[in-house]
This record gives sequence, structure tokens and C-alpha cells, in this order.
Amino acid sequence: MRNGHWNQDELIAWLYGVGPEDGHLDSCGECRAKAERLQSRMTEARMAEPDVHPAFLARQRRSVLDRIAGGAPSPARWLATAAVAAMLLMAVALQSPSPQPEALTASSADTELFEDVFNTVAWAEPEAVAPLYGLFERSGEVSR
Amino acid sequence: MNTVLEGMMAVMAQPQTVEAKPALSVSGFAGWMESEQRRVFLLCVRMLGNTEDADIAAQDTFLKAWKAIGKGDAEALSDPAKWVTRIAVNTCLDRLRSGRWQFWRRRPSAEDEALVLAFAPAPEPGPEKQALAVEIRERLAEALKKLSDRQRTIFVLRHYEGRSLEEVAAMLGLEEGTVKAHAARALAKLRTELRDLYA
Ligand SMILES: [Zn+2]
Repeated sequence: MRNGHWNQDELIAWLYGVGPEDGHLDSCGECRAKAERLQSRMTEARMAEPDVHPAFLARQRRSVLDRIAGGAPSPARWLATAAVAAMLLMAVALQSPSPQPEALTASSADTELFEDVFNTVAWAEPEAVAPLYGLFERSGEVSR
Repeated sequence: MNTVLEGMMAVMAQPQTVEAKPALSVSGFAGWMESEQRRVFLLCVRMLGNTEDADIAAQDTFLKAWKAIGKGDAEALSDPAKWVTRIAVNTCLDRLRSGRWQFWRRRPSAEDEALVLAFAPAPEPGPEKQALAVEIRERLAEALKKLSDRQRTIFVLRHYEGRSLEEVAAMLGLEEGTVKAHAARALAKLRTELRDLYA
């Protein structure tokens, strides 16, 4: 039998579903308040997860839709994709010294570059696939 | 297009409304993918540790989802988010198993990662606190490497996805007791980072 309050590690363990099974939280307001505080910190931590650049997600969607539409990418598409990757790397290399994580605003230019480059270089559409993407263009978000 | 798919996609795209009009299958799928994509991709980043592999895994996940829907996978309808999460987890686990030798070999540079990911500012006020919060978050993400694949999967689903261990057990097809044992071991390995996170 244990008595006394839960320590921090026990509270954290509880947060992850593996805390002590002595029912202490039911009877101790103090520990319950601490546990609730940890719970809201966990939620905050989840909210503060990194965002993903919309252009990256758009490119990823197109790639999936491409695969749905036509199987393996053509050699031409491969080359185009490689060209985009190379240009992005160049863009990064040319960029100023500290591309730290607070980069969403700093890289809205990247986003535009990505989109421009992507649209001009990578989007030489095989005829058969084009009508499929028409659907997405109309549905709104995919083509951004 | 396949009417079963149309019906399924209409439901998936608009889970709340009963009067969902049958959407075009592919655009319905694209809309649904867009709604789940960030979450699925970040899950893959956590599981695989870098954005390149995560990109491939996320794409494979949605491709598998598309094929499964085409085959009328009924599970997709009851809880599409959970269903696609399970596909993503299995895709990542397969990838980890098959590529163990090359795994973690190269962490993309901060520059590469910054092209894809952007950390939201921490909720606390004050730049110092924010920087600390970001540092702890990154340290935790880095520390996930210390975990076994299964431990990492369970921790990621609980911490980043907010799944209960019961749900995690169902997703992974494991006994809840087994999941708890893995979770406890994961916590032991992440103790320092978690203490700082919750300090
Ligand atoms: Zn207590």
C-alpha cells in the first residue's frame, strides 16, 4: 500500500495511461489539480506541433493523385521533380544564415518559389491525366 | 465511377451531414485527403524521424486508402480518421522494418526541414519561454529515436494524436496490457524530456 501524493513521474505516467492504480486521484484534489494542469500542457504541446507548408502538401497530393491516375511517374516527371528539388536546394543555399524553425513567414517566399517552380517545371501534364486534375482544380484547394 | 466509392467518399468528406450529395469520387477523395493530410504526414514524421521518408510513407498511406476504398473496405466508413491512422502506422512500421539499415542514417538538414515544417509559436508569452518550449519539443522528437518501433508508435499515438491506450491497442491489434508495458518502457526512456516538458 502506498500513501502520500503522486510524484511528478507518476503524474506523467498517469497522463500516458500507465499511472499507479491506487485510485489516489479520485480522493486527492491536490494531485487531481496537478494532473489536470499536465493534461492541458499536453494539449498545448499538441497544438504547438509544426505546421506543414501548404505548397508541400499540395505537391504531395498531386503526387498521390498522379499515382492514382496513372501508376508510376514517367521519366519526364522524374526529371522534372529532380529539377524542382535541385532548385529548392539552391534556394535554400542562397538564403540567409539562419533558417530556423520559425520559418513559416520567412519562407512564404519559398512557398511562392515552390509553387512557381512546380507549376512551370513539374507540371507538364500527360494528356491522359489532365482531365482528372480538372476535377480538383474545380473543387478548389488542391491546385494552390 | 464506381457508385460504392462515390457513396463512401461522400460520407467521408462530410461525416456530419446526412444529406451529403454524392461527390465525384476522386475529388471527394482529394478533399478528404486534404483534411487528413497534415496530421497523417506529421504522424509519419514522428514515426520515421525525417520528412523525406515521411513524405513517401504519407503518399503510400493515401494510395493504400484509395485502393482499400475501391475494394469497399467498410471500416473506412465507421471512423475514417482512425482507419487512415492505422494504415499510416502500418505503412511506417513496414518501412522501418524493411529499411532498418538505412534508417536514421541521414537526418535532413534544418534547412530542408524548414522548407516543409514550420513550428508554431509556443503558447507561453515571452521569447525566452518560446525558445525553451521549441527546444524541448525538438529534444523530445529527437529522443523518440531511443525507442523501439513499437514503443515509438504507442508513444506517438498517445502524445501527438491523443489516442487512449485502449484505442492504440485496437489499432495495433495488441492486448491493452502489452501496450501498457510498451508505453511504460517508452516513458522510462523519455523521462528527462518529459520532465522538462511538464516542468
Ligand atoms: Zn495527492
